[in-house]
Amino acid sequence: MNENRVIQFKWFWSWQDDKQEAWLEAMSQKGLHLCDFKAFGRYVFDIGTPRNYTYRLDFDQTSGEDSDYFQLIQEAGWERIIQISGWQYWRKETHEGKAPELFTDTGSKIQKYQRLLTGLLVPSPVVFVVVLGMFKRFPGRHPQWFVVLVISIFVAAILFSAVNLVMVTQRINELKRMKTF
Amino acid sequence: MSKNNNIEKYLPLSESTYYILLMLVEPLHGYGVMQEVATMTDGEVVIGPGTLYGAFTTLQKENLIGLERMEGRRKFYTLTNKGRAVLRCQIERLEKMNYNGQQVLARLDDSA
Repeated sequence: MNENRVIQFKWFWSWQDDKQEAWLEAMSQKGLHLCDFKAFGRYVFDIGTPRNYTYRLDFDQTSGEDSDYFQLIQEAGWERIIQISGWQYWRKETHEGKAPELFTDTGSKIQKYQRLLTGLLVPSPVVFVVVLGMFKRFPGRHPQWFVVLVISIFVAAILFSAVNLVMVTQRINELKRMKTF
Repeated sequence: MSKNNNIEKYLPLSESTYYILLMLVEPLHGYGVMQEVATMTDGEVVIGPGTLYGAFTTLQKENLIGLERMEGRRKFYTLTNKGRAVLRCQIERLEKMNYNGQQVLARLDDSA
C-alpha cells in the first residue's frame, strides 16, 4: 500500500447517499480525498491538503465514460472519482460556501431513486436462481446443516433487500410529498 | 381546455423543463443550455447537469426536442414542432396565471 494513502472502513446503506456525501466532504476538509474503493466498505483516501469539495452520488448503471452523461457532467466542472455497483461518485470544488448540485429539482431526484430501486430489484431473481442452483448442484439427500445454511443465507438476502427497498421507497415518497408544493 | 390532449398532457412544465425549452428555440448543446439559463435568470435558476441530462433524455424520448447536429463530441438539440407547440401553450398558461395573480394582488393591496 502506498504511503500517501489511508484506508477507512465505513458502512452505508443504499439510501444514505446524503450521509455518505457529508462524510466524504468532512474527510476532504481534513485533507483526505477519496480516490478508490475496495471490497467490504473500504474507502481509500489520498493524503493531501485540506480542501472544500462537494461530493455528489448519482445512480447510473448504464453510462460509459464516453457517454453524453459523462461529457455533460464533466463539462460542468465535475470530476468522476469512482463507480461502485452503479453509484457514480462525483466531486467538485465548493465556491464561496455554496455547494454545487447535480440535481436541482425534486423531479430529477425522484428519478435518481427510481433508478436505484430498479437496480436493487434486478439482482433478486439472480439470488433465487443461485440458491436453486446450489440444491441442484448437490443432488440427493442434503445434510441438515447444509439445508439450514442455504435457507439462512437466502432469508438474510431477502431481508437485506427488503429493508433496502422499503427505505428507498420511503425516500421517494418523501420527495413526492415535497413536490406537491 | 382540452384543445389538444397530446400537448396538454405535458403541462404545466417544471421550471427547469420550461427554461430548457426556451433555450432550445435555437440549436444548443447541453452545457450551453445550463449557462444560458443561469445568464438569463441572473443565476436565480440553476440547472444541475444531472437534472439537465435526465430532462434531455425524456424530452428527446417524447419527441419535444431533436438532435440537430454534432460539433465534435457536442450534440446540438433544438425544439421539434411538437416541442414548439408545448412551449407556446405553457407561455399562454403562464400569462393567464400571471394575470389572475395580479388581479388578486391588487385586491390584497386595496385591503391592506
